[in-house]
Amino acid sequence: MRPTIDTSKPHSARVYDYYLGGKDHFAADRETALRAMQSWAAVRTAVRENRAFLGRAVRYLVGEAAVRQFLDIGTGLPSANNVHEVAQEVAPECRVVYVDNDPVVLMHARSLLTSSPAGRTAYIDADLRDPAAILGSPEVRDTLDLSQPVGLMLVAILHFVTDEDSPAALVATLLDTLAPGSYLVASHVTPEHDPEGVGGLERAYRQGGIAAQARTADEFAEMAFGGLEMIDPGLVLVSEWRPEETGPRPLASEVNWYGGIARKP
Amino acid sequence: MRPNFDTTKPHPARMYDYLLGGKDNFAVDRETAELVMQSWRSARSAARENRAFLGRAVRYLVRDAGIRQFLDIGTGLPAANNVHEVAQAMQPECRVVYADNDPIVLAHARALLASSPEGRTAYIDADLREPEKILASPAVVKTLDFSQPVALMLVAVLHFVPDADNPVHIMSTLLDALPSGSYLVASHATMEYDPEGVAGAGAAYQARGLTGQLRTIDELAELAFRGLEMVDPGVVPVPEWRPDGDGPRPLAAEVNANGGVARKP
Repeated sequence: MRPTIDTSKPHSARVYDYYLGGKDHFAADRETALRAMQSWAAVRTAVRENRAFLGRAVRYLVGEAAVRQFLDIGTGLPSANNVHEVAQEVAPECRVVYVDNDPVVLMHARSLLTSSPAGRTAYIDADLRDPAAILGSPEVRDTLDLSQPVGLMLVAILHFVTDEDSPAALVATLLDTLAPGSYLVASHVTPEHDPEGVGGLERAYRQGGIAAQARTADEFAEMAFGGLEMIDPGLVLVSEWRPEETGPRPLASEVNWYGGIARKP
Repeated sequence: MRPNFDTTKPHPARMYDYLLGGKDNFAVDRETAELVMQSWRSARSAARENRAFLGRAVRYLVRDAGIRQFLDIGTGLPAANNVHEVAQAMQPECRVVYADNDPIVLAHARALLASSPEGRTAYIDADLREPEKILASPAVVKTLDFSQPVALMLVAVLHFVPDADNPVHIMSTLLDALPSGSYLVASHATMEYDPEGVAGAGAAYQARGLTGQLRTIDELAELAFRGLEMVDPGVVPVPEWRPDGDGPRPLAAEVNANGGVARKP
């Protein structure tokens, strides 16, 4: 199958790849990224912090919460800290299903499918807004055992779901299918610490046809973590979630991004 | 003694403090730093990466090179990863002499003098351009044993010494005083990765009366490391010097600083 790529329009996964210094983006993606950086100058720092949070979250889930299965929706292009790489380094038997709606990610999926022999990875071309398609897919059914806990990863994706698409209901549908003891890892851009800069990024994305909606900590908590048990330190800036290094950390007004982990009781 | 602050002129130490999110800076420092960031938009990320490089270099020296004495010139305001904190966390007997030419650093020197009981720290109010004065100071003579290896730290300071101030002479004076087996840690701002952004930043410094000189990776190697044995990976963009962890790292064009560690044969 040959995916159809519309290179005239930016895609959030490719814009993110550009921020991270990757090579899998087109002129339209770079244009949106540069416009966003005009407004939120430290967005590259923020994106790196988000990616590092993803890595620490997966290590926590495998190392301390004994999670061995992951459903990663909004994977993005392969980069540092792909979920299966981090997870299988701790426990090679980990299983991961990746999901993204960008055909360019599908093209590069091969490098996400480099599972350890003891574990397994799969990729599906699907959209968070259609959770039934994700949950009903043969890849999910064949790769994950939904009677056992799963780590649901919604990292830097919910801010691309505007309120009219009912993000809270999408999260609830996904979590309802998962066994008790499952975990949600989620991160989300906030306007609270630099309203002007983040507002400019939203406008840059919308100009490119990408729906984007920053949300406050309270809005994010209610949408994603209602009814779950938050893991310490709760919902914080992604850079402050169990940092591993002693070096200086970026300011809230650079990061503009919350993240947290919670357990389904 | 009560130091005199000139609050009409910015000082690089206070600007660096502002970039790192510190509180020990004046309006003129913040204004100049903001002017720098208009052109070099990731200057905050650069300051953090430089500080993180300092931490990794000190850990390397204590853990892998057996160094227990440090002469840190251009210390800056106390922040994450002060040399003695990093060094004494591994080996409490480490001794550190700090030197800076900003009276506000002197005012905050108490935080740098919180040595472990086994080790020792001292502070001198001195300028890199007077290396003889530094070497002859009672603090250096009493704290450091020059019959044993010393690590000379010149982190983000040499770019404030233009060629007119004869940095070659400064380097040879300092390195000649140290015994064989001593080390040099140096980092330096460069224009080679983002000429336009860094040129604008340099103009902001100069407009406010701060002199300096950007140097390429080759110029840094020649000025600072000539005749020394480079430690792997050599002189590189500071985020690439033995990075901790596997997360994504900033681009050379964001950090615009090279650094390295070398041993005196």
